[in-house]
Amino acid sequence: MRFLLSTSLFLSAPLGLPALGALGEADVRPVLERYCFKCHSEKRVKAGVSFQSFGGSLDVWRDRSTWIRVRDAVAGGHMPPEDATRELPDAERSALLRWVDHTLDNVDVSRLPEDPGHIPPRRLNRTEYRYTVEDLFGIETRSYAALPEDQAPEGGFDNEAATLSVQPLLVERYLQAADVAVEEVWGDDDALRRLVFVSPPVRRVVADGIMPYVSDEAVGGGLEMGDGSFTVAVRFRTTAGGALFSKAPEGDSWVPDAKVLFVSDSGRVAYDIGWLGEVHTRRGYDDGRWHVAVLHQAGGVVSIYVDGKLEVREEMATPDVAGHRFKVGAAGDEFVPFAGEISKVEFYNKGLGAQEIRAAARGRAVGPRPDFVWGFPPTVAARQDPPFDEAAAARRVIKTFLTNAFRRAVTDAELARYHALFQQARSLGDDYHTAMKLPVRTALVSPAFVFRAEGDQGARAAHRVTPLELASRLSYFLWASKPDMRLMKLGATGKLADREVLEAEIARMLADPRSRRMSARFANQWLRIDGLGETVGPDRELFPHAGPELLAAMKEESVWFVHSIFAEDRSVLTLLDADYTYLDGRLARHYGIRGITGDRMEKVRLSGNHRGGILTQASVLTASSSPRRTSPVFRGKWILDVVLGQPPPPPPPDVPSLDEPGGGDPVDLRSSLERHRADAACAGCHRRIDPLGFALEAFDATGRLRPGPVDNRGALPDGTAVEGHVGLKRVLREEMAQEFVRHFTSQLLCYALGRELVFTDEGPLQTILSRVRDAGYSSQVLIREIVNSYPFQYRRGPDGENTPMGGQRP
Amino acid sequence: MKNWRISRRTLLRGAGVSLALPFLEVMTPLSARAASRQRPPLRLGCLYLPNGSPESAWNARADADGRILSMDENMKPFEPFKGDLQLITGLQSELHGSHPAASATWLIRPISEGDEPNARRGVGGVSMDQIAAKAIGGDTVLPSLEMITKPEGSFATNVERNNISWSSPTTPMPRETDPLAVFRRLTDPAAAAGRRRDDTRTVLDAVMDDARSLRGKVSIADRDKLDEYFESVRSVERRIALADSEQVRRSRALLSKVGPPPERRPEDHGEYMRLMFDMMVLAYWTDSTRVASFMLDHEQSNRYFDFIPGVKGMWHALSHWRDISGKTEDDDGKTSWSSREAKHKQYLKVIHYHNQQVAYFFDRLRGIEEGGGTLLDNCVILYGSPFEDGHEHASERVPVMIAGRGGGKLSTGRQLHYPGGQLEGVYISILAALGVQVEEIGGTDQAIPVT
Repeated sequence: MRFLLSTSLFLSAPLGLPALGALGEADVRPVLERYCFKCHSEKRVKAGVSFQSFGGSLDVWRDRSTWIRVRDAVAGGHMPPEDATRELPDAERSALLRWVDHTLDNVDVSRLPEDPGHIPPRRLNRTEYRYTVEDLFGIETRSYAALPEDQAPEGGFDNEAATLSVQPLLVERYLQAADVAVEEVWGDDDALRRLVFVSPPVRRVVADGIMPYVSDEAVGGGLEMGDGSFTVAVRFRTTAGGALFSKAPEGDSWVPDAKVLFVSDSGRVAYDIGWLGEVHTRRGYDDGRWHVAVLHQAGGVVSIYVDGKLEVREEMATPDVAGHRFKVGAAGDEFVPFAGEISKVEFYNKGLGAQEIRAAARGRAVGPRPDFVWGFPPTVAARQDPPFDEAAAARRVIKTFLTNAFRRAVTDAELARYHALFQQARSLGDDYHTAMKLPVRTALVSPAFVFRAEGDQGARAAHRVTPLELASRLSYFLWASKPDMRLMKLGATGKLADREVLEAEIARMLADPRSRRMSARFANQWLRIDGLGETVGPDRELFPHAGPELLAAMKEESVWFVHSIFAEDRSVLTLLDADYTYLDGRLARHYGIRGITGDRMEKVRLSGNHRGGILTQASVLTASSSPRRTSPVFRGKWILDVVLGQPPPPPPPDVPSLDEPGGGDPVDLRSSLERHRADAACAGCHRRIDPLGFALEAFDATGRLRPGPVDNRGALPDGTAVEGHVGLKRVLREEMAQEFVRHFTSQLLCYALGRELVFTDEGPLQTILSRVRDAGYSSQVLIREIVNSYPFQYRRGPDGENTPMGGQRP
Repeated sequence: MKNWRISRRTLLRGAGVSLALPFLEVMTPLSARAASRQRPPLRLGCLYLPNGSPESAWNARADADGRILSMDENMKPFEPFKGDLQLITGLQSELHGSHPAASATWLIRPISEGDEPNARRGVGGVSMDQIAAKAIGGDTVLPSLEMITKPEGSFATNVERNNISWSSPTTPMPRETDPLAVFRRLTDPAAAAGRRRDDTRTVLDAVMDDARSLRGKVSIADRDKLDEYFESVRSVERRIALADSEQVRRSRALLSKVGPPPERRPEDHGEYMRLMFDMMVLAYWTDSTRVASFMLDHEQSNRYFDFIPGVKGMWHALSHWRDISGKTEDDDGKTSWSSREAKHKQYLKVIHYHNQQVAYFFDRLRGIEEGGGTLLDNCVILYGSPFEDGHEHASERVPVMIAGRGGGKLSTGRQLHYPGGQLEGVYISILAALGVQVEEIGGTDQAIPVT
C-alpha cells in the first residue's frame, strides 16, 4: 500500500525503494523527546507543533502537513535550532529523516480508522439554488442573481459545506430571490399549471390561460387606443370589482397615459387615464349579475355605455403609448386585479356607430367583426363544473410542492403551516391561484429548502445515510440539483439502497442532459478556467481576436469535452489525449481547422497531433498565461497542480532576487549567504516547474499555435526530457497515468462529497482507484465507485477529528 | 451618469447646509433641540490596500513633536488632510509572507507559522470591524456594510484573499461590488426584504417554525448552522421594524432626493472606486450604517494598470519590483520597466493612484457638515495594508493611517512612531474610541494609543 507523495518530487529524498532506516516505530519518540520536547511538547508549543501525544506512524498520516514541515525543518538544518541545548547528531538526523520520509510515502490503510467524515448541514450554493429552482418549477430563472456569489476555499470547490456559511444578509437575499422566482412562475402559464395542478372552477380561467391576460407585442401594439377612434366591449360579473382591462406597461408601475377600465370600490364602471383623470358611471354594477360595459372613444371624447345605455360622455383622451400592453383583468399596482368573472372582451379598432354600440352594449352581435376577441369558447363557458373542494385541492397542491421542494416527505405540521398561509392569503382577498404565492414564497426561504441537512437517526457513530438522503447526495453530485420524482420515489421506498437499482439510476442520470451541469461545474473549477472571460482574459490590445465570444467558446470546448468522457463512458486517460474535440466556427478558425462554421459546438475529429486533450485546449492555455504573454512558470505550475496533484510549495517569502548587489562587510556577506541558500530552494522548485511549462511554448497566450519553429523542449520534474506538447502528452499518459488518475479521482471525490478530503479517506480512495484501474479507467465506473464508496454512503455527527489529508502544502 | 453626479454634488455640497444630516437641527423641534443637542454618532471605516506599501512611500515630514508638516511625495494626495489624519509607522503583524493570511486576518490577528488560514477551518477570529458592528451597529438599517471592487484575475473567487470582514471565524461577510446595489440596500430596506411587508413578516414567522423543527433533528454541534440562519432571519425582522422608524424614513427621503447611481458600473476604474466611496459617504451621511469596510482590491490582485500615466503592469507583479527578470509567474512580460528603480516607481504609482481615490473619500466626508463639524470629524477611518514592501512580503513596519477625529477623541495631524508595536494594538484603541472595550486582539492586550 504505497502512494506517491506529492512533495517528494521537490526534495532530495530518493523515490526508489525506501530503505527503512535504523529507526523502528518505537525508536522515534525517544529521539523527539530528547531533541525536540523542550519546545514542542506540553510545556511549550512553539510554531504550533507539539509531539506530546506522538505515538507512531498513524500520527504522521493524520497530520501530514505538520510532518512535512517537520521533515523540511530537520532536513534543512533549521531544527533543532542553533541555540538548542542538544545538537542532533548527523546519524540520528538522517535516521529520523529516513523514517519520516518512509512513513509519509507508505500509508498502511489497514491501520487507518474507518471514518466517513463529517458534513455539516449545508446551504445550497448559488449554482445549486439556481438549478434546484429550475427543476422545481420547470422554468429558467434569474432569481439566483440575488444571492452572494460562490467562492471556493484555497484549493477547493465552491460546493464545500464548511465554507457555505450563512451570513446575516442571506435570508434577505433569499426573500428577494423567492420574489423573483414567484413572479417568474406566475408569469408562465405552463409553469403555473404544473404547480397548481388542481384548478378551481373560478371563471378567471380562460381559453388560453389565466387572468391577468397580457397580450403579446404584436396584438398589444395593434390595439390602437390613441386619438383615433376605438370601441371595447366587456362582459363581466362581480361583487368585488377590479380592473376589467387596461393598456399599460407590462410591469406594475402606473404611469402617465396608461389607461384602464375598472369597477371601482363603490361598484361604478370607471375609465382612468394615468395622471390625467377619471370618468365613471353614476350607479354601481357590482351586484353579481352579468353586465356589458362598452368604452367608446371618438374625436377626443370618451363614452361609457352599460347594458345598452349611455352612462357618461366626456372630453378626455390621450394618444396611445408605444410599448404598452393590452391586459384583461389587471392594470398597474394602483388597481386591484379583477375579482369575479369576465366572459368576453371585444376590441374594435375603430369607432362604431351609435346603433352598433348599443347592440354591443346589450351583448348582441354587431355588424363589423371585432379586431380582437378574448374569451371562453362557448362550450367551455357552458360546461357545468364539478363541485370543487378548495381546501382539499389546495392541500394536495401544497403537499406535492413541499415534498418536491424539501426533497423529503412533508410532516403534518408543515402541511398545516403552509396550508394556513394559503388560507391567510385567501382570506385577504387573493384568488385561489394568487393565494398559492404565499406558501411557495415561504418554502423558497425555508431552511428545509435552502439547506441540505441529513438526520442523525439517533446514532452518534457512523451510519449509512437513508435512501432518500442518498437520492439527494446523488442528484446534487450528478445534477447540481434536487432529485427528480423518480429518484425521490426510489429513495422514499428504500429501493435506492439496492445496489443494482442505484447503479441503474446512476446510468440514467448520466444519460440525462442535467448531468452536463456536473461536467461544467466540475470541469470549470478543476481546470481553473472558471474566471476565463469574466475575471481573467488576454489583453485585447495584443490579442484583438480573443473577444468574449471566443473565450466563451474556449470554455465550452472544455466542458463539452469533459462531459463526453463521462457521458460516453470513456477512459479517464482520454482527458490527457484524444482524437476528437468540440468546436464552433470561431474556435475552429482560432485553431486553424477548416470546415467548421456557425455558433454551435460540434464534435470534430482531429487529425495531426497538436490538439486533443485538456493540455492543448485554448481555455487551459489561455487561463494559464499572463494577459500579454505565455508564462511557462504558470503553465508548469498548472500541470503540477491540476494534472498531477503535486502543487509546488508557495514561493518562500522574503526572497530577494539573485542579482541583489552584495556588500563587502561580514554582516552583508552572512546575510547574502543566507539569501543564497533560500535562492537555492527557490531554484530547486523552479527547476521542476518551468521545464514542464516550456513544453507548451508552441502555443501563444490565447492557445494559438505559433507560426514557425519554437523551442519547446521541456522536462518532467524528475528531469526526463520531453519534446514539446506532443512529447508531454505521451509521457503523461504513459508514465504518469497513476498520478493523474489518483489526483483526478480525489478531486472528483472532493466535489462529490462537498468537503475537503481527510486522512481517513485514503482507504476508500485506494479502493476506488483499484476498481477503476481494473475497469480500464472507465469514467462511469469511477463515478459509480465514488457513489458506492464509504464516505458517500455513510455519515457521522460532528464529534471526531477532521484532519485534512495534507501532503498538499509543505 | 454625469447628471447623477452633478445632482448629488449639488446636494452634498451646494445644499449641504440645508440638508446636512438626518439630525439636522431643522428637523428637530426647537424645544427638543434646546434641551438636548444630539451628538452625531461615530463611524468606523476600514480601507484595505492589497499588495503592500513600502514604508519609504508611506511617510510625512514631521517636527520633533510628530506634528505633520507635509506629506511625502507618494502621500501627496493626503496633503489637504494632513491635519485630519494620523500616520502610524513602525507597527508589525506577523503574517509569514502569506497572501491569503494578509487579507483574511488583516483585522483579526497574527497567524502562527505554517498555519495557512483556511476558511474551512476558520481564519482565527472575528474581525475588528465586526466586533464594532456587533457593539454599535444595532441602531442602523445596516449593522455594517462591506464592499470590494469587482475582483479580477486568478484569485477572484478565492475566499481568503477576498474577505477582511468576518462575523465568525468561518463566516465572511458578503461584499457589495455594485454601487447601485449598495444604494438599493440603503434606500429601501423594506423593499429589499420584499414588497409586501406584512407578507414578509408572515413568511419569516413560518420559516422560523421550519427552522425550529429542523434544529431538533440535527446533531447538537451542527446547530450553529441553523443558529446562523435564525440570526439571519432576525436581522431581516430588525430591518423591517426599522423601516417604519422616523430615522429611516428621513434617510430615505434624503436618498430619494439624491437619486440612484447609474445602472452600469463605470468603465473608468477610478470613477468606479469613487462611486463606491460615494455610497459609503451616503451610508454614513444618512446614518444607515456606522461600520463599513472597503477592499480597494482583493489581495494578490493582478489588476492590469495601463490607465495610470507611466504605468504598464499588473499590480502583484509590480509589487515584486526587485524581480526584473520577467520570469515571475504572474509577470506579464510586457510591463515596460527598464530597471528595478523604474519598476519600483510604477509600483508606487499604483499605490499613489489608490491614495488619490482615498483622498477623494476624505474630501467627501469633510465636505459634509455635521454637528458643528464635518462628517470626517465623526469618523475613524483606518487605511492600510498588511504588508510593508510587496516584494519582501514584509509584515514589519506595515502602513497604517487613521483619518478622522472620532468625534474629538482622536488627536490628528501627527505622525506616531511605534517601532515593534503590534498592529492589533491600534485596533484596541480604535474600538475604545468608538466606545467598544476589548481586552485583547490577536493575542496582544497592549493598546497602541492613537487618542
